Amino acid sequence: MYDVVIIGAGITGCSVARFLSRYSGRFCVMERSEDVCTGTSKANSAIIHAGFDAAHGSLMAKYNLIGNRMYPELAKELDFDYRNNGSLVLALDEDDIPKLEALKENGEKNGVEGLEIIGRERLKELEPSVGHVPVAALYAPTAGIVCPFGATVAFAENAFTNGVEFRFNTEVKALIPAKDEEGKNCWVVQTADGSVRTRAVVNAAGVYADILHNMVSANKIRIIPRKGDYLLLDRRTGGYVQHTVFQVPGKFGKGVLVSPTVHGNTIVGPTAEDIDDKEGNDTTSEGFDDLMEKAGLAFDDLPLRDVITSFAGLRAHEARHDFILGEVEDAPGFFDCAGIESPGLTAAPAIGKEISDELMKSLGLKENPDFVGTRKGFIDAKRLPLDELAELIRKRPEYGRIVCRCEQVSEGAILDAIRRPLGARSLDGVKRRVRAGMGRCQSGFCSPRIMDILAEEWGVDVADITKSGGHSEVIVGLVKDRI
Amino acid sequence: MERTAYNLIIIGGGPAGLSAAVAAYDAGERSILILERDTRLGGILNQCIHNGFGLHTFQEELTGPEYAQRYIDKVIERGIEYKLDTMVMSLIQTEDGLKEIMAVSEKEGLMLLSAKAVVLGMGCRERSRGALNIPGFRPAGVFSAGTAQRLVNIEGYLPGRRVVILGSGDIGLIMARRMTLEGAKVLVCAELMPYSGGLKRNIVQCLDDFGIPLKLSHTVVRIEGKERVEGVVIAEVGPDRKPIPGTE
Repeated sequence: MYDVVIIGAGITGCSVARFLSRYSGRFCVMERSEDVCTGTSKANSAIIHAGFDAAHGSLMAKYNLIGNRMYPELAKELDFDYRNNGSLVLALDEDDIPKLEALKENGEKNGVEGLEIIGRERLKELEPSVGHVPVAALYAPTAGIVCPFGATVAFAENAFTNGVEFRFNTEVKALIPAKDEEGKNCWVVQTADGSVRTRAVVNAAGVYADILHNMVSANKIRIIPRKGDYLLLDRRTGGYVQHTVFQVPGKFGKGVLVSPTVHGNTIVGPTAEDIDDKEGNDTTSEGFDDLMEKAGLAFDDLPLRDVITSFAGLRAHEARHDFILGEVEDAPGFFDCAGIESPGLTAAPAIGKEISDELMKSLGLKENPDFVGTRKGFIDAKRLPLDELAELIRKRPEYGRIVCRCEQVSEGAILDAIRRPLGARSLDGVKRRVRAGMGRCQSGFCSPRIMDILAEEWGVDVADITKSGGHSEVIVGLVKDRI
Repeated sequence: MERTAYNLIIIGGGPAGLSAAVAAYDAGERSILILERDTRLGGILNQCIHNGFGLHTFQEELTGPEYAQRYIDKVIERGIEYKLDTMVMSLIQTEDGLKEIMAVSEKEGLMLLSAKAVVLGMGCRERSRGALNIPGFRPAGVFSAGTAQRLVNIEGYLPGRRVVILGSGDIGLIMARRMTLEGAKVLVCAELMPYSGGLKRNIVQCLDDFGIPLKLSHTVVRIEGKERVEGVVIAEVGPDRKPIPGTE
């Protein structure tokens, strides 16, 4: 019998797991894919919103603000990449200025500090690349950027270290209410690998959260995947923008943003298209055209020739456009974290803390006396002082063997990505942890070598190595094997 | 950290770097170092196992590795120093007018080198699918020609059994033949431009001889398949190189 089964190993599920591990109990995260951070959490703008956008009084506003304030400290404790770069919302003509004022007012009601409407001159000072169109902006100094993979892996590793189990490739098929030996309510969680019993369930299933919720509750919800295309620009564009630059929101959310990433790339996105397919994260040329056109309103000379990859993410949009959090009224012991769309990444730590505290109270969990709240992240050789790097390579020569040339990632770093707790099993797993394959050539040069390292480390045939789990095998066999 | 000084450092031990080293030596320079990131000299030629190299230079038809070996031999004959498995991390101009290189290898760790002149012979990176803005899903099974060539010719792995090739430059054409010889079925070679950038000889020997159709003024407009490639959609493009709706 588990105390809590968390369904979904995205940023929300892993955050709940991490904060839950402050308490003693048997906890398990079940994830349908092969790794953490493979759904909504992997493909988004990677920004920590200040919190002026979410409607005052909404759960989005509440948890956005708390989450925004948690990130700086949490990034230090769990050693993941976060930077407080501030954000700007551009007014593209005079008519937009009242909208900026409305945003500022809403933000101040939400408790956002330091909001300021600035004219074009100050805007050019803060963001010299901005184009000729914008006339004014709302400046939010508390906004930031984060590595969503880094944050999710950090939460997951820390949860694992504190005793939380993780089961990957484990899709939940059914949830059945039952009674334990003492006649108390519990849940039977059915998967393809059999059933487990648990006192409580946390639904952090992203775009699938409605399916799980609707299994147990008569009050139906509907998650509509809202697709957003993104373009990612080469690191040589690093420094083109300093802040996360939005445009005044239209009817489809926040519109197109241009932002630096914590690793020095530039990200442009997202589009917004409601779709039916919960796996429909395919990009479209219309989406690309739309992004380029809208980004061109903010910047005159955005180096769009430097696009190195594009992708689409699915926001878990719920019709009422707010988070659905907490124990479900007609399903005791079933806790929703549903409708987690933007600002979900920002809110994740706050949601994790809140839901884990509700679970603690509901289940009567005691404090975990062995809880370790800190975690050491991956070694980023590029950021080490020279003498420390030299010493590292003396101790671990594999750190001197560069495998990914674009991002200068060594074999040592790749081995760490595989050997650490909840280590990488696929090319994408390695990429998201240590950035091998994330650069200009998009793994063209390094993937053959990484495949060999993965095969050797996991003791499997190289033909079984996948891009991202399932049947995404990179190769189909050996040359001439059917001749 | 001590700097080791050379007059000339050549970054890249492929054909360009090797022949630059030989030329510098023959012009009288003796303080030369070649830095190569791979485990052997020769660069990209090592995976170009088809013939056709050396017709002009050596008046013979050689394979890529054979051609590279001619230059490797020249470097070794002259006793020119080289370091393998060595990656250059940075190259800066220092105040004393020298170029300073930081390089790293498993064997020697971090090293700081200085040079009066540096030759960059580092080849190039292929543009990825993302850089070409090809929309659709992002499954496994989409390779640049160079990556596919490495998988097949160096590693002995087959990247796919039913293959579409986008681009009819020489490497696209050569990979069409190579994949066919290794047991894959090449369905079509699509070319965005109204003409092929490849040699006529390669069109004949790599496509025509194997019955592989070349579709000019066509491009891939969509990639299908969520886990592994299941199909691609090809469409004709107009004079503006944009796909013509209805021709998919």
